[in-house]
Amino acid sequence: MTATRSVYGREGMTAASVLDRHDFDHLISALTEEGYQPIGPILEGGRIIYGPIGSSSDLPIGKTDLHDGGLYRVIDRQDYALFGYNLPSDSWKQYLFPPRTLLWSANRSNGSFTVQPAIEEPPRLALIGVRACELAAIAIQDRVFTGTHPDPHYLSIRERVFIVGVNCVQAGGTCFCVSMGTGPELSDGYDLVLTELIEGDDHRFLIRSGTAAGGEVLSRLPLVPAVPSDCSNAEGLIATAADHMGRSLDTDGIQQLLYENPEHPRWDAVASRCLQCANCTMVCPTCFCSTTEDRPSLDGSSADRWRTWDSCFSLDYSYIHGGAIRSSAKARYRQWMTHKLATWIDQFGTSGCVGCGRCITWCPVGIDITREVQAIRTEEASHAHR
Amino acid sequence: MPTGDVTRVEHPLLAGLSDEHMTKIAGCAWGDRFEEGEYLFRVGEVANRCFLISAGRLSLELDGGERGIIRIATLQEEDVAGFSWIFPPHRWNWDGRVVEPVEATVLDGEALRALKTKDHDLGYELLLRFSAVISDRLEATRLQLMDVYGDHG
Amino acid sequence: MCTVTTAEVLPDPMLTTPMVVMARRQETADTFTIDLAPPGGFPFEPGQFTMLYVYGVGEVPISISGDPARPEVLTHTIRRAGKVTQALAGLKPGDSVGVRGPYGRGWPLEAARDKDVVLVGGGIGVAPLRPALTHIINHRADYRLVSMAIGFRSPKEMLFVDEIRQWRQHFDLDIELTVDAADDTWRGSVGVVTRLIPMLDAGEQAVAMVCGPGVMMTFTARALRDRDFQPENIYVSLERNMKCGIGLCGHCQYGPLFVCTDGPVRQFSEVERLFGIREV
Repeated sequence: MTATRSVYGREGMTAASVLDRHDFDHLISALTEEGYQPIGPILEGGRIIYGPIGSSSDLPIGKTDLHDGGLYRVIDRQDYALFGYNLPSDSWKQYLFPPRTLLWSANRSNGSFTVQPAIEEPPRLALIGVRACELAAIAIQDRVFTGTHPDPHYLSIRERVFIVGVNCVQAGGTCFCVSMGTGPELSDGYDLVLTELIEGDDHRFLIRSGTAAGGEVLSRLPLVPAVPSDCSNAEGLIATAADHMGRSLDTDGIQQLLYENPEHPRWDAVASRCLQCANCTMVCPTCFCSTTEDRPSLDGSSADRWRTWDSCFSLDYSYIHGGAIRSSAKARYRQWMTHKLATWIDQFGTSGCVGCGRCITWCPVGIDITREVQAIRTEEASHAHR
Repeated sequence: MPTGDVTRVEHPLLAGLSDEHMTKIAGCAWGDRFEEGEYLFRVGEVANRCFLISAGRLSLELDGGERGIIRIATLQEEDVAGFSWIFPPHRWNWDGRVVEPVEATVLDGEALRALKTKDHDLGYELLLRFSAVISDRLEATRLQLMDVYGDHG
Repeated sequence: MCTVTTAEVLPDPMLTTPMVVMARRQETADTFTIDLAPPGGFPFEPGQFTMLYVYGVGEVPISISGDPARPEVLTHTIRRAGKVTQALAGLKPGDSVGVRGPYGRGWPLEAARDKDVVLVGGGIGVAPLRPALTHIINHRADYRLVSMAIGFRSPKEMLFVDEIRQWRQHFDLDIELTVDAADDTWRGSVGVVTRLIPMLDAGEQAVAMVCGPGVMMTFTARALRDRDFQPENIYVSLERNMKCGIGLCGHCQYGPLFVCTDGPVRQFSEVERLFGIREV
């Protein structure tokens, strides 16, 4: 059974159970009682984003979202699904790796200065509605931030997080997690995982735990045991989602393809359309680049050092004395895509792309990473025949 | 002051040359030594010599007027000074001043010109080798032009 | 749940340690050397760098230019180029600088043992090679023929003038020096540093360590290849924008490499492909 494949052998694993929609708020209150701040999808300003939630009524009930290159709309569904959307515009990255982090503060004293670490109690967050591609992205950022010099700012938040995954039972227009091997079903790394099942007025969640902490929460919920048909229904829905990916990306030999084509004319073509707005890097759940900012107080008696998100699309990003190394738009787009799909594998043993499609949806001119790869691939083939 | 005739010229420029060609070239070559401050050639003079340096250092320079003496390159062991003998009007474009006593095989440019006109195979060999010298010199000059250590901010 | 190590036990690698400036020497019009007093010493490997922080201004990566046998002094030679180096230029003895590090992979002084060694430095690139040569001088018997080619823009932009003079007095070191441009008061060589390479004494298995501007390293590697140096025996020191120095900020990427943690010193054979790509 597909739905149970994911959790074999894990401590705290339980058999699948069923949580009724009417009891869903028990889950949120159980998490709150455990000391977690629940964060989940909310509807705000015409789009679905992640934000603090107090109850299931904060969720985008009965809403879904249309995705295409440079296109996004929230529309009504025919039902009252809680997780009936595809993917919020922003990712969990903003909670685990906040856009701005105070690293430390310095105080001037007798011509010298002293440094105080930023002391802030890390939040305990329960992330509700984590998609398979997003959990894959979190696993990727875990690798990034726990390398030779682990980042305590990331870790202090990350190790306190409780993850409630939700399997995808539909796919968005820019989704391609199947190509990247990350979804649509969560396979590992969650505390709890849900599959939303709606048949007429029958609205339920297949639920299971992946960790002891998840099992603990599960034990406090009013559940009924799942019957085999619940599992096969969930399995069927997930399979349908897998069959309806809006996009696909052929990853075969992708490192070699990109390393051998740094001067491909397609880079010029995409650069002529790219606005260098950096949206793709902001919405990308794996992009991790940051810069630092020093903020002295007005009287100069103290100076804060901040870390903020940065993007390889900015000119300053590659600046060394004299000028920017990647001064052309072509070089910057090439850096981003080559890093995401190829050099990332050298660096972290995994692709930097999880197939969430956000960079396609939120690109103001609809540049599509899957199409760019395909163009380099096919035009390369035609070069070879000359 | 010529230090005598040579039968074979040991210098990378002529490495691998056939015995026949070597003999012909040796016929218009002699060894010489130049002391510090001596000029091997001066800008504007007729260029009828070529110096295959085996020791010492030679400065290629020009009087830049208000800028003073401008030194453009230093030639040393294994370098070749002088290819102006090849091209009309056979005039030196630089001063060649000895910075450290130079030992060199001197080739008679006029005799070389006659040789290469008579023997095109030898002429080809010579031009090929001198082209490589000119190419190296051009590359070094381009690098200097790039001013790689300069402050380009 | 996350299975990673606990954050509480980790020191924060972004925290900087204030150190007092003990001495400052002006090398040229725009380049200076500062000696810091590291509390408890500062062992490093030649070729490594630190992140230097100026209070309220910012942080920059700077190669260590001092003597690796003297961890009680932390020395950097810095060229005034941007906002932070400008601020560093204004420091006086008694002032404090924040230091993180040492970071990165240094010169292959172990791999070069019992081999001929050729160092090639250009401009400010001589600074990161200075600890390597100092180490070699301190352990001269561990190496065979040792030579160094040094290039500067002009005589007045020469760094470490007195020290280079001392190096040249070592009978067992071949130190060649050249400048790109000079007037007739300069008695040394004129021409690019690559022109010195054919003159250096070294066998085919020699190890070369090269540091300078990108263009200079490209042409130096080529000149070394012309001398039958193996590309894997040629080491270059890479330079990129760096914000963290520890592989987290992404800025220093050079193809698959994070220059801060995978470099700055790499074998030329590993980066030759990248040297050929524009704006990579």
